[in-house]
Amino acid sequence: MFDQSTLTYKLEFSIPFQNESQSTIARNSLSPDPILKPDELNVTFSSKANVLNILFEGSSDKVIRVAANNVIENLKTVIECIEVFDQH
Amino acid sequence: MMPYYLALGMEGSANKLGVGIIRQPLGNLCENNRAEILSNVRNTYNAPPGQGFLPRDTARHHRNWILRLVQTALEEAHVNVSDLDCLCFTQGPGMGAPLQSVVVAARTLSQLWNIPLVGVNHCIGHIEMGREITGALNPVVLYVSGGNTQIIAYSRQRYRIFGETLDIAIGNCLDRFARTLHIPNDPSPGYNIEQLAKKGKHLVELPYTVKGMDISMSGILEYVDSLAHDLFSGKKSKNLYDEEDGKRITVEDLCFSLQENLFSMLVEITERAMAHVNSNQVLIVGGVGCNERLQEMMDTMAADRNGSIFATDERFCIDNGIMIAHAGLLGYRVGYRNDLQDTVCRQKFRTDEVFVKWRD
Repeated sequence: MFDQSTLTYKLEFSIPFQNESQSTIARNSLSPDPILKPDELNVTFSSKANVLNILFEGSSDKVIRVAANNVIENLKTVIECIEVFDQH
Repeated sequence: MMPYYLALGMEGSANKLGVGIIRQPLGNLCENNRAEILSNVRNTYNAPPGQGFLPRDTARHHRNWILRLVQTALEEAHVNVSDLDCLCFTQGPGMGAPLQSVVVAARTLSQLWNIPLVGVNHCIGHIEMGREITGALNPVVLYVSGGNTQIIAYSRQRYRIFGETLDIAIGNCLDRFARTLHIPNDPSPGYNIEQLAKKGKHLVELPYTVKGMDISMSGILEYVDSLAHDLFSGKKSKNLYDEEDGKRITVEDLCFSLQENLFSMLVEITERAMAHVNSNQVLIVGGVGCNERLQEMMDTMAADRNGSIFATDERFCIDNGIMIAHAGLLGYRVGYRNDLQDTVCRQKFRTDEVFVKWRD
């Protein structure tokens, strides 16, 4: 079962966007996908003003590295979409 | 209000990445009121000969191409994003990582463009596009591709699965045999097997594994693989020589025999499904549906039943974005929408889970 106390490894990203709407869009695009092994990893997305915060909490640095790589890949897609199609 | 609906569809459940834009006129779609394809672009990830495409590499390919394809599709269609009614994406079934790489772009674009998302079942996309292109009214659907092998018939607002593979998909069986033979994956492994099969002369006996309405193919693959290995290693065992003329069998003979054997099994269960639902039309969809020998064998069977087959060409048979746009838009028009939280892709998303509200 989910035991927060074993998730002792942590990594946090703070990614500034041009405005609040962009950081919200990024959060909404990344957050729906569930974590496959919730007993090993927890990822929290939040946005405040123009900054997107991503907190990884894992049972080892390996699971964090894998998850962080994946999130960065997805983030690149999000940013590319914003670059091309954001009218603001 | 415009006199039509407009949707963009994104497909990336396997190694093809496709984006298409469709325009549907108001009113029920029928012979005189057809949907119009404004653009349908695709980019395929091919692994080197002897290898299959892996989820990670395929997802990377999709991420690299998705935005460029969206831009190309919009340019070719001469459409402004503000004219789009909805953005449709493949929600499953398929490979997890490629599906997920595309849905991230779909979510972002739907927020930027301020239009709703519509999640589409990949199989339903094939079926609805096949119906629209061929005009088949109520056919038995043979859905044959790299990931799926199903016999489907419509009944009371569901596409119901009458028979299917019990293990691997037919396209997967052909692809994996192509890997054994080390033939190229470009344009597709199945296409290259089909070309070799045309030169086959001897029919090698293979296991025939129809189980009721279902079929099994993994044992056949294992058997034909072992024949190929024996052939390559120069073995002289009896089953490597033709019984009648005593000639050594060739790679072409194996491709020919594999196709004949697998397609006969499909013909058998399709015919039984047609008898069940009292239909004399067969619609063939999915990548393997491009195979002309399969179409020919199915046509012979259907003609015996005073019926006919409906097949599409590679633009629609092989995975594409337009079918997702089309099926998604049919759903949109009867009220289907996906909230962002409800856009998670599912590798196993069965055809009969979808309530087909847009049909009588």
